[in-house]
Amino acid sequence: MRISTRIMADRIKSNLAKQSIQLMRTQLKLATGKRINKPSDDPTGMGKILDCRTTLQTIDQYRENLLDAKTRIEYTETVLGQVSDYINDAKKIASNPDTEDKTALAQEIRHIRQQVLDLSNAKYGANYLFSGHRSDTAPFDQSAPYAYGGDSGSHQVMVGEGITVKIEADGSEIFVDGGDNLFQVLDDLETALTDPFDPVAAQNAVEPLSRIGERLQLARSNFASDYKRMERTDEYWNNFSNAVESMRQNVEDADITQTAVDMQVQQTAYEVLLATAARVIQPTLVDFLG
Amino acid sequence: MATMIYGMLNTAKSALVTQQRALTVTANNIANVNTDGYSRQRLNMDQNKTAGGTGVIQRIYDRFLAKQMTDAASEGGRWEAQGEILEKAELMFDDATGYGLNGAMAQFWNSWQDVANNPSGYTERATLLANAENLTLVFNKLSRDLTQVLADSDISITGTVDDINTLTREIADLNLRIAEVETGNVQNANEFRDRRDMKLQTLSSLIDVGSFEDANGYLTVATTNGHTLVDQTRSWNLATEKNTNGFQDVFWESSSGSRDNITGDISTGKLKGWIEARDQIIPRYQTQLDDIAVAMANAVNSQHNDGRDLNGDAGLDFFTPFTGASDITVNGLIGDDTNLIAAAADTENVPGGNSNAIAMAEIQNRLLMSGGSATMDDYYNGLVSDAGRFVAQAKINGDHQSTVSLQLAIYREEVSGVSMDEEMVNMVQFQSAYTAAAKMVNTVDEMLQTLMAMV
Repeated sequence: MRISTRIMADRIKSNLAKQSIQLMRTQLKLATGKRINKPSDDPTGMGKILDCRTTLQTIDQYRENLLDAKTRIEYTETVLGQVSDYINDAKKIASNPDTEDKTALAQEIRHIRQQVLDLSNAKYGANYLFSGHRSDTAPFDQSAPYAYGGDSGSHQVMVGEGITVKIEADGSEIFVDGGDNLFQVLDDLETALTDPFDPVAAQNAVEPLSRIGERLQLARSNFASDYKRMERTDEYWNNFSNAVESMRQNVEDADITQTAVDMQVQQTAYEVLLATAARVIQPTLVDFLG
Repeated sequence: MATMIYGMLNTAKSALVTQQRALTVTANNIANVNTDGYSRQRLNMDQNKTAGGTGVIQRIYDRFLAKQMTDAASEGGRWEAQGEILEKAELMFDDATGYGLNGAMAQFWNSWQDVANNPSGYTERATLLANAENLTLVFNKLSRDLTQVLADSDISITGTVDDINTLTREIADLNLRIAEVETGNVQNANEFRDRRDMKLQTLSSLIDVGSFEDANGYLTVATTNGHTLVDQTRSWNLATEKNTNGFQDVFWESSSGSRDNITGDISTGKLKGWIEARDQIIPRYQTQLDDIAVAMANAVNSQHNDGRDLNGDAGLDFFTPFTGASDITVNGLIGDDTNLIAAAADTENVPGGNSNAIAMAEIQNRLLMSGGSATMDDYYNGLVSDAGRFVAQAKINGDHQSTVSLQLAIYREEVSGVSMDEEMVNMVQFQSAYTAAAKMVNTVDEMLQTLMAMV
């Protein structure tokens, strides 16, 4: 085998080029922290990464939906808790109306009615909580007979692929029991307490108030179980999202320790190559001819 | 007696000239130690009886190796060209950085869920519109960028055809010169031959050609499917013409001026790499992209028609009529009025109903692609993988070819390369022979003087 002067130089040049490309790739990995910086780095891996990203984004959205729904339920619960307290107050007054100051009692009942009416008009964002799909209409009229203006629609929440949770939004299922409308009952109670005072009529209000109270409790426990279910779903998504995220990391992220070691090794190889080149390239017979 | 002495003088003179020529060849070799494609030369010294000619300068060269090198150059050129174009296309899929279609689609579907959370909310609706518009822009841009890559490779093809024509003209010209120099077999046109080999090498990297040298030293070059490019001292041109797709096809021009379309016959070289990327690989990306855009728009439009907007009317087409990814747009009427987004399923459910918004979001999970076996996300992610796979493949093939080429170049250097050490040894050798010949002249001179003194 003849070795020409150019072979030496060409070999060294081509090896230097190879080594510097490797070094550059390793540097890019270290700089971005990613093993895959463009699809051709690992086509199959890139496909997996994109799948993971889609899944992660979808999960994030489900969790946002859940958060929104949970906030809505928490808010509903606060409202209904207060309504429940007011009903109990009204019940106390109705069951024992025989006190001196009926005017004050009547006034309190009017106050309670107004409060409960206000509470039934509660809005989450710009939407009424208790008027079904007619979220832009107040659920109940402000005056007798306090007709329900909403419909039977419920608020649907998407919590997973093909999975929705329905949140009760039908005010007529919460504030009305059979023929008895909470606001009308309170209105009647107020009338019974004002002149002429009618203790029997007042006490008659206790029974419908109790039934409506129970209905309210039922609605609250339904909300509570919805809430629990959502928390579990959220936890599930959280775990799933962590699993997918770690899968993505395994595929996409560079092992920094390994890469740093690679970098060190490649750098050493590069330096050795340079040192060798410096020695090999120089001497020819010319240097030794006198 | 005197004739013998004069004969010696003649022999010494011839030796001087020969060694001097050998030194010239050595000098020439040293001067060209770094010249691309240079084959080292050697003075073939003959034992000379007539004391006149001193040998022919020959280049040391392996014809068989040259054939292998042109083949390797052809394959190398193909993968280099293809890798270059496909890498450009790969860059357009901006998904590695997270700004591609993958992200835009996810945002679009998620926006529908946001609308479901607050069906009458202006903010949610406006965000949905913004994300829908962004999605169409990403579709448009990706499609346009790929078309631009196609146009780029088209320009490369035209440029390459020009280069091929220049090269064939030069080879024909070199044929002429070589024939001129070598007529009568006295001299070898070594430099011209080296240059012609280089030209052929470059030509091979552009298009697949076959070649042979005839007895007169003319190199005949033809495309692999038999269209002559160079014969003796004349050359034939290639030309380009727009085809029905608006891209340049490659034609061979006959002497009479008629043209043969050879686009499909080109089997390797840079031209093949570009043509393959332009006519097959990238158009496939575009078709798949169009498939996604059409499937999405159809599904979204029909679902939107089923829904009811805030006015209680049936939803309009969400995306207006279009042909593919390049021109998909959001319906301008919806763009101007967020109330026209249909979130509810029935008129009675307006404004709080969100069933249609949820159904919209569910389209993301429908198996609309690949004959009902893949979601749009799956299909697109597969497309990005493919774009990467083609680049990786071109790179692997290109790397392989460049290793082969390097190895062949080393073999070539083994045979034809100049070794400084060798030349130095030769120089010393020729120099001492020269000195000896000069001494010989001296000696003959002294002998003649001795002879004179005798008289």
